[in-house]
Amino acid sequence: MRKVAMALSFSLLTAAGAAARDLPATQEGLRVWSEPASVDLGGSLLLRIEAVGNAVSPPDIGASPDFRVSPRPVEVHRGTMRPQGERLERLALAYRLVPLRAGRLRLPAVSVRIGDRVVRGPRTYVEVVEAAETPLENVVILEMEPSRREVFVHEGIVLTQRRYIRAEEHLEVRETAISGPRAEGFYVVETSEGSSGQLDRAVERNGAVYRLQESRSMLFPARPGTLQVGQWQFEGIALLRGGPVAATPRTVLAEAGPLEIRARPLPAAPPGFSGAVGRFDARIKAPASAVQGVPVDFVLTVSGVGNPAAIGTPALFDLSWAVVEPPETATQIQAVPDGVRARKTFRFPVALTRAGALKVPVKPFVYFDPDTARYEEAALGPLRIEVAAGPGGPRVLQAHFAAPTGDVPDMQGFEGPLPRQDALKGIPVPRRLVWVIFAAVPLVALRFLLAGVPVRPITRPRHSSAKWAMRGALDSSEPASAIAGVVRRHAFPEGEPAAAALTAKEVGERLRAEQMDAALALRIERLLIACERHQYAGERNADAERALAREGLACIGQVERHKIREKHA
Amino acid sequence: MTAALLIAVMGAISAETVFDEALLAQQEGRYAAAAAAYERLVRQGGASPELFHNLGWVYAALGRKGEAIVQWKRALLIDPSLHPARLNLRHSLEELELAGKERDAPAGWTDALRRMAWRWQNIIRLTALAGWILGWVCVVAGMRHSRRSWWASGGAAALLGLFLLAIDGFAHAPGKEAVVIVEEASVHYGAGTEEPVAFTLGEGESVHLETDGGEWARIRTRDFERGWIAADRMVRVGPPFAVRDGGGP
Repeated sequence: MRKVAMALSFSLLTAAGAAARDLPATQEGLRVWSEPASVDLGGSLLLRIEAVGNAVSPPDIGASPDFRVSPRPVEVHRGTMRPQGERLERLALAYRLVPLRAGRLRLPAVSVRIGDRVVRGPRTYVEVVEAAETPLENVVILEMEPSRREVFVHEGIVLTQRRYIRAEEHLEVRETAISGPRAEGFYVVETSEGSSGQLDRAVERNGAVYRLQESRSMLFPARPGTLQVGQWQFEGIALLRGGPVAATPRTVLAEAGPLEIRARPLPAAPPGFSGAVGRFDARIKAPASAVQGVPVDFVLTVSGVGNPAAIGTPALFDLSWAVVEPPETATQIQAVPDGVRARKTFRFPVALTRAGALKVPVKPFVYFDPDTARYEEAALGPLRIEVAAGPGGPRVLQAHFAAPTGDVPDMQGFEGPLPRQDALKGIPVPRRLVWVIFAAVPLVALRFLLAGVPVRPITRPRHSSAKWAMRGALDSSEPASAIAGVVRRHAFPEGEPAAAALTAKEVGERLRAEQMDAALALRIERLLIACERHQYAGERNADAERALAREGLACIGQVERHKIREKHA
Repeated sequence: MTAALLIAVMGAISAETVFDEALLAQQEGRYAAAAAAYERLVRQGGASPELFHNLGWVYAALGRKGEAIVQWKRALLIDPSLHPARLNLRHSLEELELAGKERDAPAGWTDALRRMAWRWQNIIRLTALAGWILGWVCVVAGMRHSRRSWWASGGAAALLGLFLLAIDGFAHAPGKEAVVIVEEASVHYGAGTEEPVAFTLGEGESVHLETDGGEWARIRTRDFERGWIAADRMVRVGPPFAVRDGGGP
């Protein structure tokens, strides 16, 4: 009876609280409450936090011996509001809590920084009643297995994590929180899901069927000594189905670990060791040409199986006649069966202060191979580069690399000024001038056309068809006769039958009678006579035939122009 | 055409001298003189990544951080691989506690076309002019001598000129990003100081220009907040690549 009354009073309080909570807070402050306000031991509840104000930081949740708090929030809402013209941030979070004992328990203390002050949440309690049943066992089993337990510092270890979840028809398991394993002192690379990452299959274990989820990750010890991979914990709810009424959710807990890994220190490193541990290949590239004083990129690419984070910037250059800036780096990681394949690129901006054909010496890339337990060197060889004399001459170049003088402001961390690179990119032709010229040119053209310059409309000349006809004439059995025929056809109106029967002299007279230019008529007459002579000469002469064809084409061109003039006269 | 070519070449020669003088002034710590020289080049239409980078550096040295950010953004608009400008922009944004709120330079094909047009603007303009003039000369000559092929060639050349002019116009269409250059800029509900203040923006914050052209511009922030801001409180990243008259805010 007491339990029922307590539950009723709590539900009333919860309903009232929920009604208030449906509306988001509009004033600066912090609110904390639980959902629901009463829970069975073995169950779980949500700790809800809502903070409103300017510059709201994530909340701090104090340790509590009575609850296990989910490591990450299960809900996050962030937004802004303007209740009275003032801009306020709203941050709402929910964490899952699992009570560890029965009774009236105080929720963990919550504080949040809003602006420059710390706001503490009110004391809030929750009623936890004894559960009728104890948590289920062996519903979920966790296992962690490292590929090796003793390695060199920065050498990779494959950590396989297996999660067995009982696969039975009447049982449904839902994950509410999973935490860890924390791997302090390791650099961790998660392998992608699907490839060598997560697998999901059915297996039998201890006479029961389980669904096995397997995932792998790479761990690289970052320091020597005995390092620990922390506990991996699972927390969920099991729902038993098939009964006459809905079954009460039962809490499921499982954990694995911790594990200990021994990381051996590396032997004494040779000079130039970059920190790379693994099996690597190194290459360097530089442009074939550069301009004195203008930075160009020398790109070093290190690829292989190993920890990319441990590969530091190698000291490759020791030159008095070059300025080498700190490189920009880029890392790519790819999961492979024996670990991860890393590719790290160092882009060194290098400004060469000498001109000419230069040979740039490059120091070898040094790395530690854990298989042989020795330091290895990847030779990079000298780079050849043609350096042209710089723009602006030595004065500007000297100024560019000289230490700045005068009242120097705090510009630490900023990249310095750059010399100019290209002359013609300096000042462009003004756009207005371009537009003016664009507008003026057609006007000038129109004026030119309208100012008495004779305009002759375009008509399709028969000249081009005459070319084809002349080619055909040259290929015929009697080229001279054929050339004369082509000229005759073009000299008279199309389809005039009498033209073919006229002699050369008669053609000339006829053309003159038709008001053709006397010189042109004479030229055609002479051409026809030459054709006749060539025809009756007996011997073929290809050069002479081509000359006749050229002359024929010239005559036809003049005839066409004469016809156009006559037509438009 | 000859005049345009002469202007381009002479302008480039004089620009080289001005740039080198500005660089020397910058190295010697005469930042105001360096800024004035670089600004002169920008006003004349200079649009090279080195020019904007150096001008940004000088502005940063003079404490004009918002304007420095504008110049580095311009340098990256033209050459996204200019890592000194990228580093300086990041550093400057970190100083203003704006790191992480910036987007990378846009990478679509239209942006690549604009970058190409900015980098080669003289070549494009001179080629456009040459094509246009040659085209009209060919058209007139073709009409005079009844040559159809001249007509066709002239038309093609003139069309090429128009096309290049269109590319130049597209590249210089006004940009929509602006940066606040004063320590605190009020954003109002309407265009005018009599309108209530909706919120404020800090120096170096980027906004998207929705309407502008007058003394007030309607802007949108990254968080999709809208309002009106006085135009002299910010500088457009570009184009047009303008600089403010009269120095500091």
